[in-house]
Amino acid sequence: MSVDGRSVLAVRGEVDLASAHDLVLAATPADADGPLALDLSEVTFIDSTGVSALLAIWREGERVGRPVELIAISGPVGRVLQLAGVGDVFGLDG
Amino acid sequence: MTLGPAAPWSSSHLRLEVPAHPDFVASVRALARSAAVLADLALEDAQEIQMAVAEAATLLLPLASADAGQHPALCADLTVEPGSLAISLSIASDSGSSIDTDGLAWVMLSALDPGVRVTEEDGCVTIGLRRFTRTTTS
Repeated sequence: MSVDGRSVLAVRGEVDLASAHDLVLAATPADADGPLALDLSEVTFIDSTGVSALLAIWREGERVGRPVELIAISGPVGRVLQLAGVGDVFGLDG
Repeated sequence: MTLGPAAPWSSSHLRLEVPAHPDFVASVRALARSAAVLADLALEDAQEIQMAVAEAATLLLPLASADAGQHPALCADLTVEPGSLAISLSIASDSGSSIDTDGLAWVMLSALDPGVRVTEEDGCVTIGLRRFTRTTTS
């Protein structure tokens, strides 16, 4: 889905040890173009491997000049990002 | 059929053994959440104990011993008491194996449970967690 010139990838369910790698693959296709927004409103669980996946996607975006933004971050997901100390990376601090 | 008044628990110990594979960690998390409800822990505590279980599994799975053959197992032992829940996750590992305390999983685990205990004994690495209810009711 594309909204306001950026691709929006809706992430659903649990982002954990079993699924984090699939998320990275889905969010970093070889033919990616333009900014990417990850919609996390329907994420029901995330752990450190999920946080690492989000960081990997963000770093890949930095590498190829493709801005990555997290949108619709639920309370529990935001709390995990803060707990992991990466809230500032995704603009959650301050 | 109707059931009478609930009898006292004959035991407060639960044990779950699953394949040492990421696909089965969700099963352990689900059991931990269920046990947290039985222990009357608050919702936030139940969520945090689930997260702690996930992080503990993330630390243990890479240690699965090659000696365990094709069926290495992740074992979860839970002790449920009113107002508290103790969980031990363990895995058979090769001698000298130790968990990675430099990564994000350990950072999160130790933040979720500052009293987390790691033991290595008899070819087995165990991570022990404990959570008490934050409030008591009379």
